[in-house]
Amino acid sequence: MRLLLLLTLTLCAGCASYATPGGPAPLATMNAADAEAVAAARPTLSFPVSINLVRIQAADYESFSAERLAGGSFSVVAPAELAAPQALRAVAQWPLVSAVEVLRPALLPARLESLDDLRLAAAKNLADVLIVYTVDTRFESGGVGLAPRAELSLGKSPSPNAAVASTASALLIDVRTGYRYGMAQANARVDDLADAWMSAAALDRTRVDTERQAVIALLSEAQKIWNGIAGPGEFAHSLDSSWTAAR
Amino acid sequence: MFLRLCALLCLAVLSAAARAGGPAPFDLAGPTLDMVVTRGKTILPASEVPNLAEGDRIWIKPEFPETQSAHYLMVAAFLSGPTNPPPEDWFVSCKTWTGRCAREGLTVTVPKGAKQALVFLAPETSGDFKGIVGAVRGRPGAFVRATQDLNQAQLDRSRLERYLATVHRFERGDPAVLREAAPLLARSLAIKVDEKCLDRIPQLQAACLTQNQDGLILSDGHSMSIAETLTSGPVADLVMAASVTPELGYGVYSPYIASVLDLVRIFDSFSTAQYQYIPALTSHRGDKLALTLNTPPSFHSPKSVLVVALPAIDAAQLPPLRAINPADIYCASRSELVLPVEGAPLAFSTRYAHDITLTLKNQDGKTVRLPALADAARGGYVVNTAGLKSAALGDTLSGFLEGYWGFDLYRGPGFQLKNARSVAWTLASDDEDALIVGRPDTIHLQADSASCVDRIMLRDAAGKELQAQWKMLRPGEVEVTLPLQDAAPGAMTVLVAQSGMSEPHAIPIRVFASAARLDSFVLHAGDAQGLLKGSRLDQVASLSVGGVSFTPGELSTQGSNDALTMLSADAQAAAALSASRQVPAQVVLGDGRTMNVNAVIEAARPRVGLIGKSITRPESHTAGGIELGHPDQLPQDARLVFSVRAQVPAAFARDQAIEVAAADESFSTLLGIGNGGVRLENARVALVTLDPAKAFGFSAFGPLKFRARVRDVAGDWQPLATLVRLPQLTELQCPENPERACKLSGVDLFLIDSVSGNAAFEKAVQVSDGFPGASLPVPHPDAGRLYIKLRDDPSVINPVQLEVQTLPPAADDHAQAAAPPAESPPAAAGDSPQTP
Repeated sequence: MRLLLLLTLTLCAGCASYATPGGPAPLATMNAADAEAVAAARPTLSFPVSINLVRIQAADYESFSAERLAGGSFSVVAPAELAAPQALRAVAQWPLVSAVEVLRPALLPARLESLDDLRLAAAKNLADVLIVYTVDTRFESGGVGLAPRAELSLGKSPSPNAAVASTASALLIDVRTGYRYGMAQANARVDDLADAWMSAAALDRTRVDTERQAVIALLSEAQKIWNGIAGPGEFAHSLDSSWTAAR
Repeated sequence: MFLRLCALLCLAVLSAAARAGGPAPFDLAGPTLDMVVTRGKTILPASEVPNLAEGDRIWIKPEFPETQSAHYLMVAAFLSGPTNPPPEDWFVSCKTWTGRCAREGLTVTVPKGAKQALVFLAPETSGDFKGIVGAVRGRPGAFVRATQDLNQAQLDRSRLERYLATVHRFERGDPAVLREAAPLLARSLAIKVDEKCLDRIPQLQAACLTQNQDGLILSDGHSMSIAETLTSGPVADLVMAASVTPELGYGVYSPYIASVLDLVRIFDSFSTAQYQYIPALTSHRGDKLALTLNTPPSFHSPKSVLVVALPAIDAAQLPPLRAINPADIYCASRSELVLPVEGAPLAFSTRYAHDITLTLKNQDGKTVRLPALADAARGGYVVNTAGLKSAALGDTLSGFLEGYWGFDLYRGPGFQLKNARSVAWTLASDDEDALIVGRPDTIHLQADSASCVDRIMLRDAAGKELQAQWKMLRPGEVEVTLPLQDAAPGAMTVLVAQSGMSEPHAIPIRVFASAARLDSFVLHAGDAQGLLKGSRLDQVASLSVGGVSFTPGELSTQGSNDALTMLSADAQAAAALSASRQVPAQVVLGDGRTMNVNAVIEAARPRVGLIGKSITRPESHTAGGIELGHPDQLPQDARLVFSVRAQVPAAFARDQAIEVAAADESFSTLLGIGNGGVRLENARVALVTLDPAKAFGFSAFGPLKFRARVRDVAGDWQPLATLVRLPQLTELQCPENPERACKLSGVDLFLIDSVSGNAAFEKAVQVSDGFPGASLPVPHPDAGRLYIKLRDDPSVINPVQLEVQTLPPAADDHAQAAAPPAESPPAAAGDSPQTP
């Protein structure tokens, strides 16, 4: 896949165009679809916990540099470019966290249908908490947002209002029961694309940097949720939801 | 017939096993299995799944070392009981070394009708899968039994492993803690603990406690019901019988031993030319399943097939956990609250019971759940109550353990809890005046709940705090042993620190000097004084009985026993007290304490009145010339006869006696009817005869007293006479010159206190103490008579009628001052005869 991209870039060097990345996974919709099924679920954390992270995007997601690992009703994207060791180390510093790793692709099923598929993969990896996140990155030109996979012509000066904006969203899920600990969201934006507009690679680097900033901000927001779960004296209150049904 | 055959077969197996020293232990590490079970929306690791159900999706992936060279075929198989060969599609194989299985593992769904599940790990060879299918379908009953035994052994072994791990953890830490934890471990895990091991030195306790490991596991009905093993029948009976052999643990029936022996028998019967089946026990390593073997695998024919039992496919057998003492009340504010439970060892040795919480309702009816972790060494579930700090909870709470047993909701025993609050502690009334310094003393503190007590301290008047030992007697009462060994009497404070309370509760107490001990108070009717007996009676300030007050009189002490005379200021009121055996009396001590003692008012003491007396001296002893100066003087060689009249009782009893004694009671004699000392004139009058020399010997002297006595009860003393010893005076020689001294000769002159020549006892000569001589200088008698005072009664002047022999004048009469040729008095300083 990466080889194919490089070849395309080489062949199209004279073309000087850039395809904006694909869209985000409908995380809120997926969460809502499961809401009724997990309403009776109960958090089952036995501290310390092991956390897995997985980035999902739209089913047809493509980008200049990212690699799609599994597909179905949504896709899993290799998060290496975003979930840098620095970000993983930051999560590892959260209270009562024993281990953090990116969800191993080998554990994913051939076709992804729901968040349960991701939970099962995380369970196989003996994780306790799964952080599912998606990034919605939109380029803007002339103050108008461009659709995913829009073609941008490079080489000329960009529109004075050209910008790239990323919104990262995450869902913290109990691997065993599917209980939702919370949802977090964060944004990042770069307005000056003049230097990056010269080549697709440069523009994509800007896109990736923007997404990384959004993800770092997202993890900061997610930590606030986590502190409410694992902070001193907080666990009992996180269990206040009334539940009586067997799983 | 079948049973007999089975019994014979087992006996043979057992005998062989016993001869061989028992089955080989499971101590060879095998591969690890990753296993996850999905039921509905819930996904659990195998470590939290005690039973499977139809429709469960099981994902299994073995973990081999990266250097693993042998290829293993993994086969998942389901069985539907001993009499029904499973269909071929209930067998699913997976090549663990290549392809999708190597990457993703194996996922199978529990088919409808399945009862048991097995996993085989077989070395790669041609026909491996078919061989396994054929073996299982050919002898389904044997594999069913093998599954049950493997499960039983796994569950039992989990208890043993948890026990051993905990014992060794304590061994590495503080071995002394083991002594406290071992009984709790035994109770929680149903493990046999040899209590003698705890008597050894700490360093040897762990080694002792872990001897004969397989035999330590006691029967657990819950495990058996989960594993579906047989708990009765000839096999179990034979195993029990065999287990009393030295080889199998000396009489401890261990289901683990039974399972392992049964496994040996079953797996031996599986062997073929191609494969031999060897059992693999699973134990939980985190969320993974670690396999342990008792037979080294073989990669030559017959190759070893590892047989792993998965949990039984059956309804959940919820753990029969029960509270150790349901009536106990626990402190909800304790940061680490331990709720003691028993009855389900697997709750402590496995993760089957998971996500357990202590569920409480707050005042708003809102549910609050606190995480609870099973801790075998502490004998129950340990609850972290940190989450309660800001919860609005009432003073009294009802909670229960709740969570999951595998996939199933589980509700455990209930508990009563008290929230920390400032409670009104009171000192038990019996303890209020009972605290004595100089020794550890015990008090009882009472409140509506004592469950939150963390520690109790004793603070003295100087502010020094000492740790007090305490224990809870009842939910609302603690017994405290206060360290008063070095305390000073006075006010002190007991500080009760409770979980959840920032300040300890202070209880003022007062400690006293060693308490008076009151044994008895005896008063005779008619008396104005009684005798209080006990110890430390010096603290007594007053005594009150029948409305009459008594104050302390003379105190006498003999060892630790005191006798205190109690005197009544109102003799008339005291005398009015009538005889009684049970009269309550109150004693007030000097520090204000009051104590009770039982007073006994005895019958009136005997009393007699002296009618008259006469003294008769033998004729031979009157020649000394000494005339007694007072009628009460009783010469020692005389005989005293006195008469008495009975007053109380009104007539003499046969056992009544007259006691005669010296003033200091240094010598005494008892004169009664029996010894002839008392002769009755009639029932009320008696004559008493006393022969002093005979009764008391030569050294008795001084005032005598007498009293009536009836057995142990004596009347008041009355004066009787003054016993005097008389010297024998033989000669008095005087010079003509009246200015010169005379010489008095005789025997026992030391009995004379002083000598004078006139009745007014002027110019008397004092005789030195211990004068041993036979003559002494005395003043010239004025009217031909000397006067002496006896040493035994120096208050009386006694005339001496003795002929004066006139001495002829000496040649040096003028030169002599006054000294006749008498013996010198004793040479002791200051003891020389004095002449005024």
